[in-house]
Amino acid sequence: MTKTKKKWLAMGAAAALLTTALAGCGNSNSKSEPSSSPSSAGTQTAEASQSAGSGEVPTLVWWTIGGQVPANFDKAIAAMNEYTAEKIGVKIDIKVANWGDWDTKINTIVNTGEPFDIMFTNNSKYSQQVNMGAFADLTDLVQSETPDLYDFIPQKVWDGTKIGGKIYSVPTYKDSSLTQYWVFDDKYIQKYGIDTSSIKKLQDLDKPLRDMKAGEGKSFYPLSLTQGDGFNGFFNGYDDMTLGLPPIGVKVDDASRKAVSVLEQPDVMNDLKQLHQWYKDGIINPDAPTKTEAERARPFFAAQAFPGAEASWQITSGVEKYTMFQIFGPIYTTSTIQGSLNAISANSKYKNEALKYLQLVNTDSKLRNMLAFGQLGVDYNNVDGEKVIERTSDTWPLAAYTQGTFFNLAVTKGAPVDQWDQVRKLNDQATSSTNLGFALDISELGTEVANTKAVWDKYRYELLTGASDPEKMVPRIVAELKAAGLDKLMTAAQEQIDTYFK
Amino acid sequence: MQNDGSAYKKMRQMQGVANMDTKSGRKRLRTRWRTQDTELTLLALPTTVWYILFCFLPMFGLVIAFKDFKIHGGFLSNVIHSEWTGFKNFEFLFKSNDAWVVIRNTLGYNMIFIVLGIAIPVILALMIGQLHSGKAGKIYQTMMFLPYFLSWVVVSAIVWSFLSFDKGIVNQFLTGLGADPVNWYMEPKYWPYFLIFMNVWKGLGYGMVVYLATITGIDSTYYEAAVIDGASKWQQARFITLPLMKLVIVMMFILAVGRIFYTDFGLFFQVPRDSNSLFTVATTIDVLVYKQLKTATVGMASASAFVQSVMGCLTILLANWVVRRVDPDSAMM
Amino acid sequence: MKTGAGYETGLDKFNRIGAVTNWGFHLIFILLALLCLIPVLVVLSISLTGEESIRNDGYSLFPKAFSGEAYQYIAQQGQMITRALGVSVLVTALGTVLGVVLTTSMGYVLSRPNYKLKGLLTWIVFIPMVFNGGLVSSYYINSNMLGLKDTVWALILPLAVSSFNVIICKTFFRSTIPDALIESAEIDGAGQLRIYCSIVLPISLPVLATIGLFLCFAYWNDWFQSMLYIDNQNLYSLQALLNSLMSNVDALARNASSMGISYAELVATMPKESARMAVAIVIVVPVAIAYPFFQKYFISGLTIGAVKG
Repeated sequence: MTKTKKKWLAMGAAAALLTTALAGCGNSNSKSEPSSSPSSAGTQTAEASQSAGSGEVPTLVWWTIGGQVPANFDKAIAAMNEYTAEKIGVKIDIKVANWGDWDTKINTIVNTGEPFDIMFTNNSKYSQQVNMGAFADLTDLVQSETPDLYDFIPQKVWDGTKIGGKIYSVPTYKDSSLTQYWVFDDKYIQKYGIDTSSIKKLQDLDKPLRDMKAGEGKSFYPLSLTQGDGFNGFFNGYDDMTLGLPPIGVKVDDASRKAVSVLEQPDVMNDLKQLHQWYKDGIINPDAPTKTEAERARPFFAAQAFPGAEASWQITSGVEKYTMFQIFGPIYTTSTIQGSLNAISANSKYKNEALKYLQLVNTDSKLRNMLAFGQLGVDYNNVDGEKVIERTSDTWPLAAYTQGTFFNLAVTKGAPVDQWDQVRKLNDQATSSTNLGFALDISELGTEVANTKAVWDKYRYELLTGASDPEKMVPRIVAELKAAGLDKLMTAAQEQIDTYFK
Repeated sequence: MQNDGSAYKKMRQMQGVANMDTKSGRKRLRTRWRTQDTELTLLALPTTVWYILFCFLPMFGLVIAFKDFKIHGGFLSNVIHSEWTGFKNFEFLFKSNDAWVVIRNTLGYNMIFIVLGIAIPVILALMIGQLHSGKAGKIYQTMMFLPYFLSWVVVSAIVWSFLSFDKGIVNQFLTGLGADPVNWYMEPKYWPYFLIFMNVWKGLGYGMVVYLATITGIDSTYYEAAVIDGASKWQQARFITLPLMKLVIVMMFILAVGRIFYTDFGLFFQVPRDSNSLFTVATTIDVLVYKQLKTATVGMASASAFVQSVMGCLTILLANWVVRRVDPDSAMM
Repeated sequence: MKTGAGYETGLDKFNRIGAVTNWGFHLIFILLALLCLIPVLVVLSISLTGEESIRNDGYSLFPKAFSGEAYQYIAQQGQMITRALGVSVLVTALGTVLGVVLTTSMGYVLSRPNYKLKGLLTWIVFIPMVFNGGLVSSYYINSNMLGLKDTVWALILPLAVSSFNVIICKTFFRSTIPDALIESAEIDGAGQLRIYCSIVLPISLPVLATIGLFLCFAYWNDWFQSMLYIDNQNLYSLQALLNSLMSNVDALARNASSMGISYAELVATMPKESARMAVAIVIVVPVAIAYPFFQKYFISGLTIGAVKG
């Protein structure tokens, strides 16, 4: 009964606001301020209704990303809850936004202030959500409440999640550093006698790819690219400051931390020319700028990986043997660390519990495996305790990389047993971008970011798949970017960098 | 001309009656409230409540366009406590380099769509009723409805299966003939035709329904009278059917004009696969705004919706005003 | 030419287009129908073609290497798909009925020229056509205040009325129902509800069928409401299911860089192109079956008896 009453109150508040809004539009803005105070009282009552009964095991709402939820999802979650309720007195209600819907859905939830406790986020949204005030500041809390979690994740990785010097999320400590590999189908290595040890840069690929093209015929494209991906890792040498706009960046090893126009750098220009040459010569597939789904089996490709990763690729693509070699990294940048984060709502009533839960995810293998693989006995079976498992279905919708560390996660049967140790080793070896820890604050740059991104969108697919001629297009793109506010962005970036690292 | 006189006259008479009616109606407006009015108000009440709940309550969201939206707890307090920023959220709309291309595309395509979206379904609706075999007509119509149920994502996949460079049906056909395959998604010259075709194709069955229902509703005595006067089929269509459809056609026109700043996002974004080469022929306001706003704030999104609303409102009022000048009975308001 | 429809009246038979024109029209419609049918056949063909065959031979109108793999997938997902189909049917049926009532009642009221509040109501209908509060505030009202989140009502109520339909409805009533008819009923002492129910609605079947059809299709095609308001995926409609299957693949490709090494593994779990096309077929088929039911009211030459004379 009280609940409906509150709804009506809230509705009244909205109606009051509507009149305010109309009045505000019609007259001056100053009028709207005094009249808005009674309606805010209504709001608070509406919010109070969310509070649950006390003394019970709290259920936290965790918004994450994933695929279609299968029928046994609730059962699997119930099993987890049974385990965690006993262990730390917390239950979880996992809400899954589909991969394709995540953008819209999460924005709506954050903007409307819908209650949630934990939320998966990544570099495309994180700094903006923090600037909006959506997430709780965890800097002190994580050290006092969950010291194990704080100690478990290296300081570098924590630094990568900081915005304005404060921690607003728990990073998933996984392949948090970036290691780029180039991969050949071994068949062609044998056939064309390719010496992978001599391949260090893009230009070194020219001969092997040309040999393959010449040997396999006209409709064979040795370098098969897609729209979204382009040549994977093309801009790895530049730190994008989480802006997501490759034309602006800081060279990862530039000690002076100078924000530059990336497209105009000679190394990038050379690589772009090389791609264009390949496109013209039919080494890259002609439909690359509009192709969205990659071929299952590719003769050559670039990807982020770790030693041993080829095993699972061989299975999924049906290729007998892949030969891969490290080409770049490992390196930490703010963006690589922010690829997967879990933040806690600023309005959550259970911030401590949420942190405790995330700590358990990162330290307890049993919970970790249930989250990553589903219902024990239905979706997976333990082969070697919690260390090796075998998946028995492929319908579990949650993605392991969104939840927590890989280093207490079981290895799937068939994959190298030391898989995660290899990843960890890469992390330990990783250098840091000179800009690590810095994320550009774009809250005052909304107009410029929107317009430069729209300009970049207009050219990037064809530029990065080699379809357009960089010598002609790059000057044009840069000129248009400048008209859209590139210079202002660069100046602002430089100022922010200088203040941050002072 | 002489032949169809009587049917035509009868129609004119009917229209005259209608005219007189509205005139006397206007006079009666000044009289007092009657029980009919109460009853009609009650009848309209459920729908009015619906409008208030689902359309008017959310309208306070319009103020977000003028605010720097921040989280302060619940949504209402977010809206209230966020600072006013004037027109700052609108800036990005007017600073785009491509504003001209995009407005040209939006208005250009929409004008073509409005003309074709009325002319073709009206003509087909007139034709389909004339087929000797009603059964065949039904089958044709059902088939013409199929595309409407394919969402744009699926249509995009279909178009890809036709136009894909190495696997597409069209290029297989071309190479079969010994011609060179065409990289369709990178040839802007074909796309205006493709896009217009896709739009007409998808809305064909749907567009016909309104006109078919109108034709079905026409009193058959008009035609009986016309046939007795010796009117040909063509004359019947021209002097009976079309004039009686006028009201509906004009209304569809006004409604379409009100949407002239909006385009079907799926058609212009998903079907051309966001191809860079096709930017100048396939980018409309909605597509550009989508791209600009991928990382933008809710304030900017509201601002662009606000501008589109205001422009739509102006054009629809303008169209209504023009129609009222020409023919007061057809005006919407 | 004799049709199965039986003998027409003498007048109708006399008043027909010539045989040549008739065949000309047939030709045009056959072409149009094929243009609309072929793409659907392509979808069917893809759904029946093996992934391997598409990769090697490309797309074609008829499957070169037949494969029932996609429909096996559908059968595996049977529970999910039948449930989504159930949701779609339920939402479409309830929504259409509700929408027709709300739309035609408003349409009728607006069509009465002497009604005092006509001006006000016209504005109430017109303003939402151009202005809306935007996604965020609608979401807030619908889910937090009205409590529609995660219920079928979130799929039904927000789409029940569209100003476009109300205005079409009003225009139809204005042009097909003579004022004299209503006025005489009023003089006889009939209340407006009775006039609306027992005079207006029965003679307006084409209008009801039109509005019903529009609503029906709007509900059937909608995926956005599900996407926004439904967290419990058991309540997803069929189009929403298809849409998420289609967009998930794209979304994965676009976010490849932030997924790091997990990307390849995730992509492998996505349903194949043929499976997605099979779902599209599952969406189209019920419609092709249901459509003739509505069609009866457009083409069969149903005339409005009460208007005669």
